[in-house]
Amino acid sequence: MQRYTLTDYQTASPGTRDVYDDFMRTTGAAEVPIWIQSLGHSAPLARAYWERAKGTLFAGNLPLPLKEMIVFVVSARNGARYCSACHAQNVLSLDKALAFEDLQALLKPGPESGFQLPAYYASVVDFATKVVADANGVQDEDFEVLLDEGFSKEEIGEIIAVIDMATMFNVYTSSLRLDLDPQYRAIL
Amino acid sequence: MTSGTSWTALTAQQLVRYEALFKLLDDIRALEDPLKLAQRIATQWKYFANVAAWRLVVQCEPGFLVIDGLRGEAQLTDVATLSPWDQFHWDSQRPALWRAGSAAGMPSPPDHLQARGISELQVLPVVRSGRPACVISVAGRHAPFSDLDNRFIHLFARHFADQVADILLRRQATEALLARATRDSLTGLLNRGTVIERLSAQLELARRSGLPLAVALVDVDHFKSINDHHGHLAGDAVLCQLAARLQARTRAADSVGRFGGEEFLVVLYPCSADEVVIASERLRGAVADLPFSIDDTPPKRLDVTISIGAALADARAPIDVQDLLRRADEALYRAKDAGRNRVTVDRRLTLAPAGTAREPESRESA
Repeated sequence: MQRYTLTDYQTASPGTRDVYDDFMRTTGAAEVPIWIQSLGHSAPLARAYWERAKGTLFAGNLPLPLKEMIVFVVSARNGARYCSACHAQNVLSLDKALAFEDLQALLKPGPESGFQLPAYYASVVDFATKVVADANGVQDEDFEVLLDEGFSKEEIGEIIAVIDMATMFNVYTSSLRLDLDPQYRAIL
Repeated sequence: MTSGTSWTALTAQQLVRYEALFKLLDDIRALEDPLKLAQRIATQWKYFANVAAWRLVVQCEPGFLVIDGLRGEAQLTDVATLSPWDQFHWDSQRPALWRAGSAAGMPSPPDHLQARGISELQVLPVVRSGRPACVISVAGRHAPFSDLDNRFIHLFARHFADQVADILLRRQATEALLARATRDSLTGLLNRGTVIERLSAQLELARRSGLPLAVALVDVDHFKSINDHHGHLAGDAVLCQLAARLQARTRAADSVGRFGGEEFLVVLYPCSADEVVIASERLRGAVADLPFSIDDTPPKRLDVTISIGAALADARAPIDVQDLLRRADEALYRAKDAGRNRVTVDRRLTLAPAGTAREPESRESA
């Protein structure tokens, strides 16, 4: 069964339309993805989820490609089909040198994947994996690794905010089993 | 693209680096505070070059400004002399590469440039108008600097050094202009306008806080005859030495200004009636007890004395600047009249206890 309802632009309330418009203005998209449409029945909820995404991804000090990579990796680790597909798409659109297969390789465990990220990316991906596995188990040493890479405490706070945002969306989209938008290709 | 290709080898990486660099240049463009600038940069290097730690050394009279970056944070230090590493590279003014484990004929780098995992250091001198301006040392982690790293380090290092040097130059120019506008050019003390401004501000503070404030008007005795007998250069020398003695014997929070040709104004806050007598007597003694040296052939030693008229303002009897100065002036006149080389304090309370009248009082000491 379809577990959710969609509210399209035409039938949306003024409050919901404001959110849809802000999304399209901020991202440059011509259409509103399924995840927002699934929230369109409640303008405050749609606004809350969008503002969380906007303030985390489209503001702050970390580069967007790094943030998208974090969301992709976290979503994949959380088994979130919708989010991992969406953010794989975003990562690929931000870095034309990457291919879909490279991202698939990244998800394989161990060094045999043969896919190497720059040192600071790798340390962020490792950190994100640890946080997702057990937030209570993150140690000071894990922070020291990021500090050594040149991340300030404020930046590490932003990294955690991205991880946390991704997890929030993972729970939402996975429990509803949202269908993928046409432009997304499933990676899980 | 096939999987298994190292990302860093792909030339499209440049796009990511350029984007990060442009964002940083945009962010720092309008910054005038070197610390904020350095803090911003400390977190951004890693996005366009393999730089884990760095040091920028720039000339900043009278010494140098050293800016260090490590672990996403930055620190500024003013130094009079450079460390061996910095001095070596400042003197050599040549690009250099240092590798961990090889002596390379260079002094040992600073500790933060030898932190965990650092593999090599690059040193770049920056020259402006043909003269050494800055030296920047950058440390790479994990792997040696790649061609892309080098390109971006060179691109940004120059820009960073230029921006810091420009900020310091503007600061110097602003301070010089401010000094011109607020200081007396002969003695270096506050000029008349500025010391009166300070007096107004501190009088207002005194009114609000309820603490007393005092002014001491200081006048050189027989200054005209110093000029007539020893020349105007000698007169100027006396004024300069007097200014230095007054400055040395007042508290940092007090203000000392050149009020007129041979007149000086000292603002003391907070300062009670008893304290102003002690402070003024200290100033008088500092002048009278030690002759002034005049650079002449042969060198001369001149006995100089000052007269001081002091007046008080306290919260019980509000008074404005002009009235306070007038009372100090009247007290100074009485000091001159009574024989010079003395302190006279005008102490009046215009608000007497209810129902009584009180004559103006004055106290003298010499």
